[in-house]
Amino acid sequence: MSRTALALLLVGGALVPSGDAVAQSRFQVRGLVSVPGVERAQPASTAQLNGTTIGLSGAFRFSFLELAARYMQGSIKQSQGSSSQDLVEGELQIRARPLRAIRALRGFWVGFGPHARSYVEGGTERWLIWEARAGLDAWLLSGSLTASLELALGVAGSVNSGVAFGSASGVEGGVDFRIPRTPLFVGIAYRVDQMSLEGDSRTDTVEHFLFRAGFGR
Amino acid sequence: MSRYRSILVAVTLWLIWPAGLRSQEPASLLTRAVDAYRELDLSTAAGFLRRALAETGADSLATAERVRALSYLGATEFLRDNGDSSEAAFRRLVIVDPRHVLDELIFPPEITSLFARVKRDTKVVQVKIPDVARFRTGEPEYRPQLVASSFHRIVATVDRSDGTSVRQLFEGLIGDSLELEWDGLTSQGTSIAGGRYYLRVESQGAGGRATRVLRVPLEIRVQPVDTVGHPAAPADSLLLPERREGGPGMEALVGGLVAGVGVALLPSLVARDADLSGGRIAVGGTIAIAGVIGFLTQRPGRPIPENIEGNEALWQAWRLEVDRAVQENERRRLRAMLVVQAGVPTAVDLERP
Repeated sequence: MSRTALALLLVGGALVPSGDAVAQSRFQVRGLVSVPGVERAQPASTAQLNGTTIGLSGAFRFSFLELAARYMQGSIKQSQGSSSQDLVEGELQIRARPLRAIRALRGFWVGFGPHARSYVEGGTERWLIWEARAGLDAWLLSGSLTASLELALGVAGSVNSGVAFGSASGVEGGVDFRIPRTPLFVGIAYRVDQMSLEGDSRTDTVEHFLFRAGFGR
Repeated sequence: MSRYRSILVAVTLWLIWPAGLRSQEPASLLTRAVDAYRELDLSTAAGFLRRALAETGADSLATAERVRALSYLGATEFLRDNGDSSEAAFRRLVIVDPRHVLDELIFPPEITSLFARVKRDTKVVQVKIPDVARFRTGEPEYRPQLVASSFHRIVATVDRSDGTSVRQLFEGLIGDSLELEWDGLTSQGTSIAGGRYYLRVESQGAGGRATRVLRVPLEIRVQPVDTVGHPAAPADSLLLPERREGGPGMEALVGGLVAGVGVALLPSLVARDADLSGGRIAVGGTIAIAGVIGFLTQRPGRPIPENIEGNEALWQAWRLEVDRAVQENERRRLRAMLVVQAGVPTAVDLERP
């Protein structure tokens, strides 16, 4: 069974509604500020680029289903002072919480969707990856502090540079503090993902230190 | 044939014989006694009167005839110089009818004076009470009438069968008559329970000494009233847990450690050969420490003050509702309809004046 088929099977199974799924909607909107670090490794050289990006993310949950989107944009450049390039990332995910009826696993979710990344410097190099994700949310302090961890696995992708897509994977984790008696929250997170062209002819590893603030219920 | 003739003669004689001689009925005896008194045949009059008064049962004298008989008996004995007997007859007369006055046109002043003195010295109360009375608790609608022979002190109470007092209705002096009032409540202001009670009127002599006690049995029924039910206690589903369960604390510990360790370690697995910064260790450590703090603050068994307060508010609201129901039911019971059935009065003379 191919990785694509396995991911589709996992997501399809997750979409089966749990027995006690009740109509309950929630939404969240977040503003993001990130300090990304990009390590671009090629057989002959490795380049390190740093910069700043800002963006927005949002999620709308209805019953056990959730639609999540994220957009970030900024510029990065090598520390040696070469010209900068824009880094643009966008994601769309449909997620499900298939085990929300089980108290201990109510924070577990799985999702699937596209993840696009572009480097703009004269021309545009665009990576489009179809990712399967699985994550876990947990309350650290009831009603005020949550932690999250998610894993991403690229199941298919393409790059417009003419070289075939190789692989992709990532990790993101963070903690959010909900301000008491308000819908506001703030948090920090760390994210890393690595995308490779076929044959590891190029591997981009992008780290984000995220500061996020938002509102929602 | 001679047998039938004898029966016929007997029946004929019985029919034509004077009614007064046919039987010694008390009323007839009284008439003959009065006639004898008027002819000053005092011993005959006294004899007829005593025989008339001695009759009991269905043939006994009616109250008015008894009063008349005792009046003549007292006068007869007075005229026969039997002072004690005369006073005894008048005393009986006062008991039968405390408000009786001798007719001065019939009896001479010496006799009426004696009767007045006996009446003054005989402290007697008679009660006039309806056989059945209905009234609502709390309304002073039960009104026995007391009639006194003379001015004296009385105490009127409603007693239980065992003699303990339920409610004192009156304590003080009575002259000619007095109307009592009772609202069906006890001395504590609570509604009376159904059962057998007594209306007790104690006549007192000098120094508050009880001289006579009159008791009227009262059979009291309380007609049931519709009461409101007590509200149900808060359901368990409404009550919040007052102590931390294991769930939140364990979720914080496990979730915090998994997320923290995951952020710290997983990047090196998914981003092989990359030169990752150490910032992930700081973020992962922060998450793990927050998880441990979350566990410590939500560890199992720890009281949850806000839930305790919330539950107490629920219980308080429930207790208020119960109190309201109790008060409403008491108010309704205090307005219950009472049916009071009076029995035959009995009197006990505790001492002779």
